[in-house]
Amino acid sequence: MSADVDAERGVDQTAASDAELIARASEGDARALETLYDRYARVVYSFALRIVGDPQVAEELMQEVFFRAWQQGRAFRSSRGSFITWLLSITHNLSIDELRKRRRRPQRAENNHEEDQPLLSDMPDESQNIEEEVWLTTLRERIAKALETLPPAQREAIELAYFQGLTQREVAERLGEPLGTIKTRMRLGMQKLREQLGDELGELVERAEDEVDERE
Amino acid sequence: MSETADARQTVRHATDDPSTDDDSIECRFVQDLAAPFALAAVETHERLLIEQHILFCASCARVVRQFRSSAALLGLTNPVATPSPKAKAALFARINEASRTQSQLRPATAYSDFTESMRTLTLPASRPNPSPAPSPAQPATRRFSPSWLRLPRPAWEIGAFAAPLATVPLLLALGIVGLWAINTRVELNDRIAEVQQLSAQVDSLNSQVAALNESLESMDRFVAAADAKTYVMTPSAAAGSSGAYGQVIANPNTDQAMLMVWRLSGSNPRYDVVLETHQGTIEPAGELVVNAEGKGVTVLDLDRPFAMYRSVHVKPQLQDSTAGTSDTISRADALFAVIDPNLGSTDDTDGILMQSP
Repeated sequence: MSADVDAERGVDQTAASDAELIARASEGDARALETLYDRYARVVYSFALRIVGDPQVAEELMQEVFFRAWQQGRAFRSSRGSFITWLLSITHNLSIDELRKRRRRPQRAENNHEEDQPLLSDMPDESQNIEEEVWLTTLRERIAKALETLPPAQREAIELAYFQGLTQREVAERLGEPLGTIKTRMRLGMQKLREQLGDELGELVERAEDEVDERE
Repeated sequence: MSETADARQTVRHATDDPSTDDDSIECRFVQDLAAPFALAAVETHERLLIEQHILFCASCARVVRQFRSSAALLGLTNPVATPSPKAKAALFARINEASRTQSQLRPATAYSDFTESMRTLTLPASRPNPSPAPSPAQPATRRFSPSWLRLPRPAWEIGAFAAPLATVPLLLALGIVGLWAINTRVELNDRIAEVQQLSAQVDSLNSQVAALNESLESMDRFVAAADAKTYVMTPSAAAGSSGAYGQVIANPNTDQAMLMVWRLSGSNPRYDVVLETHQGTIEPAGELVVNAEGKGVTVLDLDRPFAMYRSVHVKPQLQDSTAGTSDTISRADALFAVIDPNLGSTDDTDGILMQSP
């Protein structure tokens, strides 16, 4: 059992970096994946839930995200970005695919339990590493703040696409605006967001680089 | 290579000079769509094109990656919710099951299974000599043995050892053949795994190529269709585009149309394309991006058959992203064409992409 081996070797999984853990997980270390799960399951689940709006489907998506991360861990390159952005990209792609699939195949009864789902942002979770949790909370606040600085029209176009899975053409139809206008709003909005998030992205890349250095 | 295929190359890469690849229409197209691509807001054919392009274009891949990283962070702006504990149990049960299946398929396991079977290989049991208990005379056969080894052994024991000893050469031969078989099997498993991996990659590439070919063939069919017509676009001196030239290829009875322009002002690379209906309403039909030479191509996004429109207008885009349709109308045309379904040129439109004024 890998946990026993780790215990014998004195390996502290909770102190290991994301890059180190995903490397170990892709070599078959289930404990490493479990540590990553404990760190990011809530982030992945919350994101999937926001997109699909159904707790059960969100849980299935979350399982699929971690399963794919485990399967494709070798493909992850920390030099190209942080583990969290990689994980969130997988979550977004799977959730949007599911959302579009469900739109094409309308559900008999809308199963939206979003309101029933308890929001636990203020509740402590003993399984979480406190330092990680604080870092994630701070990052979340900074990103939300950056999003708020965008002009409302640009933010609306981005949110409709990103969280509701609409294509730029569908966004244009929904807002009754020309496609070119929507394209421009998305482009300018994302450019501004990238400028605003420059520090956060830099920090994530530094984190990833530190993790690589530590591993080496 | 057909003229159309040549033309496709011309459109895809305005020049073969790698130093100016960044200015190619395809690079402009990809970088223009990088933000909506990162938001998963592009159409399937656009996504396929971008995914193909960034495999071979490092600068576009970098732009796309930057937008994707920014977009991924948006995933953190949600109220935090907690999944049920059973989700974790289900995930790890699935992973354990997958690990077990994988390890059964792993060549190393095949090897160990085989050696295990060798280890438990059984030979026909040596039958004990059914002769009666040894007679007292028989110990004389061991008279040269040291005294400390001189233990009383029954006569049948000699026969019992003789049979297995005779099988030693057989076991050696079996061992050699077994080792050869193990090596061959391990190598074979490795080769099978490699071939399976390569087959999967080839299948994936084939499906991507098929999708791209389908898209390009659809465009070829449209351009080469007998009922496709060409409408020449007239430049507007007022907009400073007197040297510009454009063509719209359209089938008047369908909502398919394509616009190509040359020599538009490269200092303003973005243009809105709008159409006016016979009732006087203005409808947007997409955006046109031109390269530094003022060359560009786009497929128009029409809501109705082309014949139901009166004119096509290409207007320079303003930097203000909040500009609406009314503002678009008031802007001067860079190029325009009056549509008369009875007048469009029916010259062979195949290879039209190669044409240049």
